[in-house]
Amino acid sequence: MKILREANIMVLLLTFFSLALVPLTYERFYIYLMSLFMIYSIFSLSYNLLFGYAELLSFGHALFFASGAYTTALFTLNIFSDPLIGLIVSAFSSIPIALVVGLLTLRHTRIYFSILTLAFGMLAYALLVKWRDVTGGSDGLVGIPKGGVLIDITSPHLYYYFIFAFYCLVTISLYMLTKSKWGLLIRALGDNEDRLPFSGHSPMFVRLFTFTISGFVASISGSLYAILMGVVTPDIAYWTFSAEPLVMTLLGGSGYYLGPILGAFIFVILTTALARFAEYWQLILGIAVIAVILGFRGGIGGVIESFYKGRTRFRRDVYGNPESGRFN
Amino acid sequence: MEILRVEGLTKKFGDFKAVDNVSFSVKEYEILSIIGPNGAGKTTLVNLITKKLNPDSGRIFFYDKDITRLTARMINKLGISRTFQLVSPYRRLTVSENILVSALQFNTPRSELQEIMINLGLEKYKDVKVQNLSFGIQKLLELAMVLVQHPKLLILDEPAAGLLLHERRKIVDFLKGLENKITLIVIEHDMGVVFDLAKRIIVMDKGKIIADGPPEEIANNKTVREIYLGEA
Repeated sequence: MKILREANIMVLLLTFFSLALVPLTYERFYIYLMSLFMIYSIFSLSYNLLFGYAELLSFGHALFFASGAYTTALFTLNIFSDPLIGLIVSAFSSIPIALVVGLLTLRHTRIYFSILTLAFGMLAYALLVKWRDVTGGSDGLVGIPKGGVLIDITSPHLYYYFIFAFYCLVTISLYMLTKSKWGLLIRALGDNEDRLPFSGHSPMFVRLFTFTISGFVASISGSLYAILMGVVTPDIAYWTFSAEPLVMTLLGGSGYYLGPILGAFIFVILTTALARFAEYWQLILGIAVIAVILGFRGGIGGVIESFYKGRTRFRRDVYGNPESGRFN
Repeated sequence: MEILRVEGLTKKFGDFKAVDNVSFSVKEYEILSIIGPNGAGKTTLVNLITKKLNPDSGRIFFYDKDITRLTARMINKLGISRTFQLVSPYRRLTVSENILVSALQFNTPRSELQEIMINLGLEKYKDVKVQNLSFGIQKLLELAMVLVQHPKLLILDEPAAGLLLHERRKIVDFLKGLENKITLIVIEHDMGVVFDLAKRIIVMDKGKIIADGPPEEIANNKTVREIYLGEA
């Protein structure tokens, strides 16, 4: 377990190092692609906290992504033209939204929770489409500034490192959270919710805490997305967009901290890079998801762990393999 | 001093009365065993006291405080801890993580968690995920998970069920060591364990209390022998 934990940190450091070097290629396409990868990584990491750790299947996570994106757009276009301040404001404004949605949905579990989150997500989508005066309707909001009063990140390199800084901050913070006592409680919630009250904890409180942190982080990814694209449209609140972090998490492996990052990488490559060359890239993505569900429930992370276990079989003792399972 | 008082507790499932107007009290540091045939209502009674289930009627007092309307978590925090008939740990967490989750709200020092693990022979499994452990070890873990909460009243639902003889001996010896430290309510089918441990026995049948007294009195009770032991 300790070895796997150290492996997590090593891989994280390796991704930081590799990503830091990308702008040195001076290839705008790679810079854009890796910017998108980092944004999707943050989005799917936030989703995995909910789905992988707390076992809460949300179909409305795009709500928080869209809330981050739209708040940033509205704030920078109308109130104060600065991307950093816009991001901070949008991240913190997601907290009351998460608390309200959480309080209304988290009293229910399993499919009822999932359907309620879907309903809230679609409610947000309808609001963004219909409230034209504020949200621009289906045209969305355009001209979100990269240059601001406090910071100017108009060049692709600067903007890339802006996202990179948040990517490092979020991945490290979430990793520390999962290893903290709160992380332990979130894992306990996903494992055996019924036992929690007899351990002195409120399942509702742990659920709400997880939901709020998850929404907060998702809104950061939405905000970064809005600044990267310079435009936001209601599509990012549509329910199919909520399925994307789920697909990324399943591809990478929901039981592993690094799973969503791995899934986001595969997802971005498939959806962006392959779309340039293969007309039917969605077919490839569909086959990949089916293969994971049918054959590799642990995702790519599970395949890597199986490989690792195969190589360290001699370590097993009479209790089975203590290093097996989730969240190493 | 009275630690627990139950007054007219009733729980129905449809037309079936699982617990029927049950009243009893428990004194501080008493070791009480509740016995009865399968379906007598023992586990339902524990579920009502610990609020895993809500009673249809009746009241529960803990140190004279009415706790009938409190939630399971509040009751747990007040000082009533319980184990489960079918072990219910966090299966994907390790032994030490299970104990830590149970202790977090009670500010139990790490050294004490370690001590309890050593006393129950769990130290060597501390980094093993519970799903990889035998049933007997999981039963010991259940006990460790409640002991770290410093309960005033500990309710054990069939602590010896499904255990090997040496594991059973270990649990009984450990529980005997808790005498005069914690009030114990033990639900058990194994009469060896019951008579070895309990200073008072309550016998239930069809949701009602049919006998209540010291072990010698219960062993000689004609109704108990007829209903519970199947003697004519």
